[in-house]
Amino acid sequence: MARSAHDSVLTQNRIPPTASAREDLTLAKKALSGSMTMRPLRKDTNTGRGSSSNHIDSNLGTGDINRLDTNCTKDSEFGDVRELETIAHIRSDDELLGAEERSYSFGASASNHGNDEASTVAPTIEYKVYRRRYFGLFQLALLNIIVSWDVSNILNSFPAGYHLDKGSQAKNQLVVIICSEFDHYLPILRRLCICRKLVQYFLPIRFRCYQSPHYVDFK
Amino acid sequence: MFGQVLSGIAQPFVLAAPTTYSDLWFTSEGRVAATAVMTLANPLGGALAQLVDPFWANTPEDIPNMVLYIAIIVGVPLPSNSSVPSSDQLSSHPSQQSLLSSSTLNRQPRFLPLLSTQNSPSCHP
Repeated sequence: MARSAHDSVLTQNRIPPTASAREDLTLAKKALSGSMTMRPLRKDTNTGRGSSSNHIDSNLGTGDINRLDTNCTKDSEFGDVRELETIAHIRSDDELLGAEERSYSFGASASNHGNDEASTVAPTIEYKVYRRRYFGLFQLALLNIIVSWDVSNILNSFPAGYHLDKGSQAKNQLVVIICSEFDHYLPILRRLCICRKLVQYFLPIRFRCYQSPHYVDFK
Repeated sequence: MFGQVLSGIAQPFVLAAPTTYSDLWFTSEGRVAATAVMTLANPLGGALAQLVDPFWANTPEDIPNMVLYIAIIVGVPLPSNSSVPSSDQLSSHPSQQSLLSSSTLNRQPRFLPLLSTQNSPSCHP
């Protein structure tokens, strides 16, 4: 498909192949220094699930250790290559990432969600982005401005309507209350989901998360 | 009156849109900034309303009309992004991702203060 003039291609985390293990270590350290790791990195072991209380654990499994047998780190006479292996096992250990984050680190078909993993077999994923996203950004920002402007007008109309008759004041009060509280109970309503059949028929497909879900198996 | 109710009802949807949009269109480098710009535009609109309305308040009934006209002008050219493939952030099971991340979030003790203070639909995927 021909690329339009407005499209631009960004390349993320391109790690060139190296010949020596020392160069790999340097590149690994560079990649790790640029990553956004908010927690202290810990090494994944296959001895158990670790001390995490979350059921989404960081255990990569025993099979993954075998995958990381590269020709640079297998038989190493350098002492620092073991450190490289340790770095390769480390992940950012953010349990909020979920199961999808674990599926990408094991192969060339991986999709990198922004975690810079210092692996010698790290795939280079190119993301194609479009400049029209800025138009949508501008429009959504303007939409937010206008909607909040209108809501502020609603909120300001109450003291301005003090000179009105009592009937209009009561209506304004009701409108203000409804509009102010709607933001708070809409997420709760979505979660309660009293009638699942109603949700199934009236909500679009992407919101049908209240049916019997097919969760990812956490093993 | 009906317009006021409608704009109030529309606000949670408008607040929830930036997270989905930036997740779809932006990579990990610019996603935070894009979400921040779109989300912070909401209180900016409230501040603008407080600042500009006294200058426009010749008659109290004219202000909502003018803002409504601006909203119509803004709302007509909506971006049709559904047919254009964008970046890879959405997985093949977006509904699972939503429920999974919400259940993951609810189990974190650090999320509860954030939820109680911000309490916007964007916190709930």
